[in-house]
Amino acid sequence: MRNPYLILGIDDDADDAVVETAYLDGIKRCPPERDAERFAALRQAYELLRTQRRRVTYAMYHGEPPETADILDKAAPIGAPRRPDAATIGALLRGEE
Amino acid sequence: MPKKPKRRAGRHSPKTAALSPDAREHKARADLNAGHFRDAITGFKELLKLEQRQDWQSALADAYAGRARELNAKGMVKEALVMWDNRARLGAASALHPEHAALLMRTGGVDRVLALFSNDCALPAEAREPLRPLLAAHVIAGDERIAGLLPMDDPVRRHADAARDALAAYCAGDDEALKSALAALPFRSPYRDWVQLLKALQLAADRPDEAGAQLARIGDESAFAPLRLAAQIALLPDDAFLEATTGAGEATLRFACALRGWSPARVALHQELNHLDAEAKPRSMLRVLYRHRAELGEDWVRQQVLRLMAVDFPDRLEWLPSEGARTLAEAEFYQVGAWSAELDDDPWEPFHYWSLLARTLMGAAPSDDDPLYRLRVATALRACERHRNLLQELEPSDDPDDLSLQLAAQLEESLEWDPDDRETYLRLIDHYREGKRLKDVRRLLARASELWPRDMSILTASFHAALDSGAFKKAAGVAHTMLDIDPINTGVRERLVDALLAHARKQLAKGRPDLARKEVTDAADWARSGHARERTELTLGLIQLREDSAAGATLLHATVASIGGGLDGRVALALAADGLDISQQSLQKRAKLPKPAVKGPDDLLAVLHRLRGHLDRGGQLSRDLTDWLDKTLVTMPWKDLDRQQMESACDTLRRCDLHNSRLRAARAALKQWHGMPVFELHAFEAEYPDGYTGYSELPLVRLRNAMDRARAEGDNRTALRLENALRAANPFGGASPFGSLPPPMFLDGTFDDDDDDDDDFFDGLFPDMSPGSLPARLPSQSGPAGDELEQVVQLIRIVGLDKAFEIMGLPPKLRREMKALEREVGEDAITDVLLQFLTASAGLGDDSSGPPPRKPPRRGPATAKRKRRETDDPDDDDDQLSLF
Repeated sequence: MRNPYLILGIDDDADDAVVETAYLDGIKRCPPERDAERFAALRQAYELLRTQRRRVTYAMYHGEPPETADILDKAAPIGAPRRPDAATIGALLRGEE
Repeated sequence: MPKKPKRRAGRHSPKTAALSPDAREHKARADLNAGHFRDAITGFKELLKLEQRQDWQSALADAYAGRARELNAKGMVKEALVMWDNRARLGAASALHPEHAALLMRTGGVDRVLALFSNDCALPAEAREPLRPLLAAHVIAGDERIAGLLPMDDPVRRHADAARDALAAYCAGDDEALKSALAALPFRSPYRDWVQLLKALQLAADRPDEAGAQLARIGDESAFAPLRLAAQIALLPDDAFLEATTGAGEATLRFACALRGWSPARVALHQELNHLDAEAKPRSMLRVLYRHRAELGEDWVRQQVLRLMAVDFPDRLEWLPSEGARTLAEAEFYQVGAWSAELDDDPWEPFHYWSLLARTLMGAAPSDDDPLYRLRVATALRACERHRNLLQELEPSDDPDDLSLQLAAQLEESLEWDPDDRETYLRLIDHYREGKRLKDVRRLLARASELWPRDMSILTASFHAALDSGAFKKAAGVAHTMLDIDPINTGVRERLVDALLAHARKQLAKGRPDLARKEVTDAADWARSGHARERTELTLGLIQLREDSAAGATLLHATVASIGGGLDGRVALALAADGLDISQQSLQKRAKLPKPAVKGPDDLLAVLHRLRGHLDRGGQLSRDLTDWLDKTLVTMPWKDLDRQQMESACDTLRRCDLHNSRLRAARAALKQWHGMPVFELHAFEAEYPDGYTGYSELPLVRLRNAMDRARAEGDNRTALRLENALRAANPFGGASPFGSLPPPMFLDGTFDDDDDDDDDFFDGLFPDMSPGSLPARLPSQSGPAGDELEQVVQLIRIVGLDKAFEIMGLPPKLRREMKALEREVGEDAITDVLLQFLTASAGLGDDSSGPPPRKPPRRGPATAKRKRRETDDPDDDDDQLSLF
């Protein structure tokens, strides 16, 4: 199971308001018709964390080991999508994979 | 100096040379078709020495191309180029292949490709066309020379500026400029795929599906295919993306990661994590976590490390010192232990760890007032129950060693630390209701109602609790509150009507028909559904009947007529009368009702629907009503129902304990749907409601066949029900010990059933001596039967006849008959009779003829007793079992 804090892109000490804001931002970016899988993940993460009671419960009850994607998201979170530079495009067009 | 090993001899042996040209051509073409390009090249080269035939040249060109692709795929670019060159040397017919040209351009042979576009070159225009996109791609890639060397009118040169502008605009994020640059590139331009690609990339962030569709228009042979592939990788879902990047080249990875917003640091870490040894991954991950703890954060890393320790706990703890991590604190140890124990089936282990964690947290309190700290303690106290919903699973108990009692105590304690958890109240209330601990239910409800006075689940619990304790007036009050909150809640309306009618019955029993009538009138005001209104009208009629038979009868006749005048109305009346403790005979007599008659299949279905609704609302049927219904329904035209209706009917009749009707219905169904498993089950259960008492194997064989058929048809639910029925009917696991013997003369089957076994004491002593475990210990043909029978005799003497009968799985009816005989002839004589049966069974039984031994059926919800500790008496279980 993915770490819900990282799915929402929030810190471990986030409060109710931060969780809600992150969730609303997330579903605005990924509505179900655009990315159903991501939307479901956001929804699940929000349900796990939306109150302090739930956050304590999550911390105490979920003993699953971290996934690779969790470590990646924590150490180097995904940023805004960028356009590749001309050099990279040129390399690919020259056949340099 | 070691010599270079000689090349492997080709498939052409010296014998091949002796073959005719036709045979050699056949062989070479077979090699070509089979992908044996080297042999095909040799074969066609030899053939061309004999004669310069055009078709052989063409075949040789194909073989060179195949071999070149093979080599290219292996990364042997130079060798591949040699093959392409060989192919090109075959003549104009094998003009520069686009793949050859692509390889040339990759390896710096641009001039050779460009030479084909000079005016001196005889290359036909159609052969130049596929090469242009290659040149176009290199023009965009920044090879300025190409455009300059091409003729002025060549489209690669003419459109080059627009294509380069498009690239610059895309990279700069200038969509307007990009749009106008793309507009300058015509559809038939060699840059056509470039246009598609840039349009797709523009959509990638916001409309990935459309971008994917756009990219799919670019073919695999296109000069822009590598770029398309990189873009497609960028659009993959997370997991697939991570997988695809594993084998991707550096430029592809950079391109895809940029489109997804991945930083170089992320890519590097991803590559590091991807290269972890799969077997040693947990430990490697531990190392990676500590190596990157600066970026990940110390606390986060610690939390993840704890989670890595939960598997194989506590073995992995020894990794910590060697990786430079501190050992676990007490609370951490119990937390990890609890996670680990949750992976196990035994609920006592997690209970143990969670309890220790809660106690440790209590002892390490920073401040009693800290709400977060209090919540953590409460959460730990609730963890074991919450993880597995144990209070729902376990039977309530007063035994202090019972898990359910301890869990309930922990939940109660958790409310002292955190009194605001509604879920805990509801779980405890449900559990106490199940155990009829009404005082505790009321106590918790009082607290919960104070905290959440208008919460529907709390109100529902209050409503049920009031009904449980017969406080119908209070139940009605609660239902009123619920309807205030949710006026269109039909379920609550029904409950309110039920509560008011129940209160009316109570008043009637107290001899207050006036008050009862008032309650029913109130109920009528709330009744919305047809059935609820009918119930109130019938109840009013029945109250009237008590006071004035004639008026009451008239009222009831009218109400029954309004319900349809058929059997449904009559059954509605019977149910209402049963609720007021009026016997059906008395009702018939006082209300002067005609003999009940069904009006057709719809009427019959309405009756079944009404009965189901009655049971679903928690209604019960008295023995008097059951007898009346069974007698009435047994004659119904069951064959008129379709299969689904019949299944539903049999199930309803089962729920109502209407065995005769159920048997009749099931048999009618079996006439139409021969051998259908579900009806075989209904027929069997209805015929033997108190357990199988027959002596014939035939019903069991039918049941077994039905079970096999259900399994074959994938109807696992019915198969399981049939298996349970078989197990209960045939506790010996094989052929019935009575199956091959004539029935004893003293058993005439006229006794009534009364299941009077209450041998809990022995259950404790012999927990594994259930019927299912007996066959393995009974004498067999090959075993020392005499010795084992002697042991059985001893066992019978120890446990007594009652328990022995139960262990043998004798139905209650037979048990009672045996006991009656025991009173007449004495225990020894009965024991002898029993042994005769067992001896006969040992001699005649054949284990292979029946189903394999199975575990005995569970008697009810599982109860978890505390595990026996080392200090417990070892004689308790195993030694007693050895008596068998």
